[in-house]
Amino acid sequence: MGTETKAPSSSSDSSSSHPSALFTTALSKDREEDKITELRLGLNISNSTSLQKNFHTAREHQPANWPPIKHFMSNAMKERKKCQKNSTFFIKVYMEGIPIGRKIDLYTVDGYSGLREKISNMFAALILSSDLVGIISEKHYVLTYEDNEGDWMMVGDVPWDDFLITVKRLKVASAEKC
Amino acid sequence: MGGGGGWVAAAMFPDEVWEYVFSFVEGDVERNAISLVCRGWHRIERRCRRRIFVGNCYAVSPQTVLRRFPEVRAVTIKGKPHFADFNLVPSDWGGGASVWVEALAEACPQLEELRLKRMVVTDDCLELIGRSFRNFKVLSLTSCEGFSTAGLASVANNCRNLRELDLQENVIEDNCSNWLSHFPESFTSLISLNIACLDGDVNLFLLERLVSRCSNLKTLRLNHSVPLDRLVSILLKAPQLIDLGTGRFSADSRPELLAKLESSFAGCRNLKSLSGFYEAVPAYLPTIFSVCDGLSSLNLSYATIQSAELTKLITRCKNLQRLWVMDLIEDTGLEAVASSCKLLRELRVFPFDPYGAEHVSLTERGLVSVSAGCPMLRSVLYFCQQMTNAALIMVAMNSPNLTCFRLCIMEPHTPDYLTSQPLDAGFSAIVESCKELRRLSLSGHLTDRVFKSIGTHADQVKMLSVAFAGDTDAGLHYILSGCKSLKKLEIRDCPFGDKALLANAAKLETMRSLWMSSCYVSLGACRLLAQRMPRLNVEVIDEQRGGQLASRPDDCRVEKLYIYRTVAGRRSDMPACVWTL
Repeated sequence: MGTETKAPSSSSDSSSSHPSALFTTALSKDREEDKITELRLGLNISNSTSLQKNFHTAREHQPANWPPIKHFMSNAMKERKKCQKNSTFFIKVYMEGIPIGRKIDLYTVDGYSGLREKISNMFAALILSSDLVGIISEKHYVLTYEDNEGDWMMVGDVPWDDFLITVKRLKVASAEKC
Repeated sequence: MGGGGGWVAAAMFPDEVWEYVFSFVEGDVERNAISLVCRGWHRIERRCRRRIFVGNCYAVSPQTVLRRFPEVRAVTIKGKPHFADFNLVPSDWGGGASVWVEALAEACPQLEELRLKRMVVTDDCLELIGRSFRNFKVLSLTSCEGFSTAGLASVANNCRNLRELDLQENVIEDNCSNWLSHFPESFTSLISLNIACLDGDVNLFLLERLVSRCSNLKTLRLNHSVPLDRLVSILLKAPQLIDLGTGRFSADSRPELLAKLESSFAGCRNLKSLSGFYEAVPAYLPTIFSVCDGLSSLNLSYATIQSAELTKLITRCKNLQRLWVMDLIEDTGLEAVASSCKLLRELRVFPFDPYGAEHVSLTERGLVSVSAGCPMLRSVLYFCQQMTNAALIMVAMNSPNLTCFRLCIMEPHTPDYLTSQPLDAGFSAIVESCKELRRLSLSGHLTDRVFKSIGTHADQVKMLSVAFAGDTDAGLHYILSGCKSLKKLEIRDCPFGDKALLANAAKLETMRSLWMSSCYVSLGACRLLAQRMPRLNVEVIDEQRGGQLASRPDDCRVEKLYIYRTVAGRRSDMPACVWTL
């Protein structure tokens, strides 16, 4: 079951061209020489002490790729998180000029491109991705959203997962007004 | 062999006698020792070595290996650094299997067994394997990537004597949904099939056909797509199974399914190992009660089940030796394990929610209970939120036979929560007491003092993982100047730097590899190290900045560093973010 049982962790490379015994005689001499060269090169060693004092405080926020959990297990965790939330996530979508909004389940769309595609079909409108705004005509639309602080933002400005946390409702606006 | 006269007589044995004698020596270390005795033994040993293990695919060239061991039948090769498991290594870092597979295909058509770990295996590699080795029996891929089910189809198609297809935690593209159909109708040799990591749906009709015609099948691990009702029919076809990984362990409530499942499990009298349990619901767990007594291994690390139900199941498994479970088991559950599972040798507890939103009552107490109640305990991997020195000292006293101790306190720099002291005393007690410790992972608030203790006492430790620990360079110096048996050292986010690295340069040649990321190593020190130690590859990894390394000053900090010994020289397949100095 475990990876360890399959791969003997204790065995060394089968090529025996590295018997450590060969190196033991050279070891102490090398160390001396290293110290000398290091001093000669004036490597930036003494300065690092001051850096070290700040080391802990600088990384107080959640570090990347920690805790050490393998890809498969962390994926399973993410899947569970999704399931734990409501299995649907409906918000309203408004189209400029149409008074009545429609509902869309954000859990059924896969990222921003899926969202644009779905809303394009919903309103039969050509919706640009946010980075294309600028090469526009009046027939093109962009997607905006109201975040949890009540500000209207361009859809696509934050990672999808962050968007799911902050979005309150969506609006399809004509591109030239942006 | 006794005195000198005996030696002379022994030296006159024909080679075949020695070959026969050597065939009883299986360990790599022992075989290496034999080959160093004299030229004659070196010559005989190399010609009869059947299994080789290459711990780092860049440490030696395949041509060198195959020239020395022309009669090899089984090869195990490892690629990327271990930290690749946790996303710290760039995805295009390297570790391609093709140079090895191509060399084997050319020089070694008699190959029967290939095991690859953390390597990039393409569909072309898999096809070459299928075409090249006449009597190929075992393919085991662990944490590999780069291939698809189309590649598996070519293996199924060509490897007519395949006994084991073991796919563990690989990323596999699913572009050939009926790849199982490529096993010929006449194919019946399979003993072990592990497809638990496959993402897509498995063709259940083909799977059942395959299972029913391979009557020697002992290991079968299914993926999450296989529903419970089909597990019933699979078990009826393969009651001889020893090791089963279930698929999805839930279904719409159906009383008749419960009864059927229960009776099909009851028919599997040889079951020793159970895993899978994807999306498990408690209602179906009693169906396996009848086999609990025979189980030595139980992997519930994907079963999100609460403590009470887990406990009801596990306490029935009196002969359990290995238990993997989520922290949902809580301290109370582990107390029950401690009083029921007296043969337990290995415990792994994984976090249900590592970012701590859910409150799970799993603490140092659960670990102490198991160490006190399970005298056979050898191996521990334990994720938790809090720890104390007192608890670690208890574990050290209770379980002096530990060979593997990996503790992950999830918040970095967490001290003993009762005394606010660093956990130095606790980990020191572990290395002082557990003389056979071979693998150690540290976490929590640790100062240089713990490394002094590790350097002095951890004589058998071969792999050491360090994160967010230490105060100064002295920490690294203690490790490298002590730890006699150290082979692999991996360090992240520690204030270790040039001085300790350079002072212990020679030690690195006795080790397989050193990984350091987000530490205080300067580019100048790496350059110096590479220059002084020609048998080390010093690789600097920088995904952020790009540009030319040559133009950077010596005092520039290195983000990621991977150093390994090699007799193959520099590798030539590096992506743009990796430089060999």
